Amino acid sequence: MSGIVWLASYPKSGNTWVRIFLCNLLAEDDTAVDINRLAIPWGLSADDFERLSGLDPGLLTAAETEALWPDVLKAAASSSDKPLFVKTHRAYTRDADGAPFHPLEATRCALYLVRNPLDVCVSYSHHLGYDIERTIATLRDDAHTVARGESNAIGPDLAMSWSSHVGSWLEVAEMKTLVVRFEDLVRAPLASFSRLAAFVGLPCSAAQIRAALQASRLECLQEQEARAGFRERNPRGGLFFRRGEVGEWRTVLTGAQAQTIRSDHGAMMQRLGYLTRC
Amino acid sequence: MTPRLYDAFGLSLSSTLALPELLPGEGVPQVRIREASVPPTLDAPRHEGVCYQATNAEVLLKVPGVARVLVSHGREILVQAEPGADAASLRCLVLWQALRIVMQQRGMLVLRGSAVALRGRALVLAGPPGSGTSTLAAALLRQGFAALCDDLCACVLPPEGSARASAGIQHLLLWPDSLKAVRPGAPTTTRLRPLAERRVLVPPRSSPERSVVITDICVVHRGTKAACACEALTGVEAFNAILPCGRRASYLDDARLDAAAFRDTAQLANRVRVYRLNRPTGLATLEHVVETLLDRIGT
Repeated sequence: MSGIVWLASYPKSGNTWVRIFLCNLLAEDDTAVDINRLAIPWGLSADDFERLSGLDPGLLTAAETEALWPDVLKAAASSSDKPLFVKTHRAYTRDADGAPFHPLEATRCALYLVRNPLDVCVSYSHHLGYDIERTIATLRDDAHTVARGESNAIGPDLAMSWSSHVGSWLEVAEMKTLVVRFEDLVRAPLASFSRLAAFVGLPCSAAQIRAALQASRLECLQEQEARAGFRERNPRGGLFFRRGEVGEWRTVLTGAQAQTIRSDHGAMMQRLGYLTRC
Repeated sequence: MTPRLYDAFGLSLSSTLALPELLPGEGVPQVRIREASVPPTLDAPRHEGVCYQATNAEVLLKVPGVARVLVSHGREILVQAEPGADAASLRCLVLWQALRIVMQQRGMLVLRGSAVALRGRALVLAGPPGSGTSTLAAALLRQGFAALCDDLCACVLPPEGSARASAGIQHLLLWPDSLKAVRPGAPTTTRLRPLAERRVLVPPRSSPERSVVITDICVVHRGTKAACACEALTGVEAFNAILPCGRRASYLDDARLDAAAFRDTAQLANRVRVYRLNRPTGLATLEHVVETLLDRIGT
């Protein structure tokens, strides 16, 4: 059964970790996969765009690229007889006619990862090389865009604010979607990863899940990054695989900073249980 | 309008569209570019994508809001502009998209990359999208090199003797941050097309020669480490490095042309010095990357 399996999230919410876990699960042996040669890449590349559309995206305007992406994604899905895992940091948006950017006819299902914005703020500040105040402003920015892949040519993706991003995906009714909290992946990895693997169509034994988790341990990823670097790291930021903790915000954010984030995103945090836990 | 004559990629062209990015030419044109009616579809296309249809001999490109373009037999490019399409967008489509298809239909070896020349030697910088070949080429212009071509690099392999790079589109295409890095203080308003992010850098020096002997090919990759590394490659390694840099559309799946590209790439790898340059991501170390490269190739 083919179709796109979306690995969707706001940045720094566990998307890369899950992607590496799935790559290890799909790998033919127990050797940890190379983080710089992942079978599930960052996203479709400029070469993919050109192969499917016939046009070099580096010659197009952002509006032209944006308009063509849904058709490119449909073409990508129809050209593969296997599920196509595609990472996306884009909010669930629609065009002027109401058609979703993530085309339904090309979609098999979506895995939506969500993380407490207090911890997202800390992690994202390291990733972007911003101070906390600027990162807080980024988290509330509905015009916030992120790189769609390694080449500038394929255009930026509209992530929006943390609340808008999360809200847009939680309200998706027309797509089979599983919402997974980063905190649950950390606290109950075997159960959480087993559930998401089954959801995306990779039912596996507990032993296989354990082996994939072992190969995807943070220490393993950090060791690889220290030795060989990580191609998805933002050159202006710090290390990509840093702490992966739940509740790090408690030792990093001031009370006022945490309160600002709660004020900005209180409604969505309440909905996800982030005002009383973590 | 009377067609103008140009010379690009070793081909003589005539065009009813003004193409100031190309060198003037003369003689009997091998490729004719003209504005004409273009059919909305091809009969019995072998391949179809979001914006193209292709048969063995023809490719139809459709860029919404800009034009339909029909490229035939490696000899003709027909352009039907959509109402309101601007001249820069039409030129962009013809120069960087359609001419590439022409060259592939003619069986020419075209690499994705740039070439710069110094004292009768051409250095080709090839690599995947985002590897920074245009940025490196622009930085080398500051070291006294002259621009030969950017984005598309046509390599000519005579039966005997040296491989040569032909002068092509000499304007460099750069992202705004790259332009700022290689030309601090330069105006960044010359866009490739209206509303396009990429900027055009008109080189201060263009090669006076229409074709230059290739002595070195550097395959550029965006590395994952902070350090820059440039290693010499030989034999199969050199061939394997160059082969993916071939600028070939997958919908022109002519086995004869594919075999020719394979053979030509092998010959090219045998006739020039080949390097793999892993450069750190970002532009902060650009000067160091240039130094490393120049040191390695011995300029």
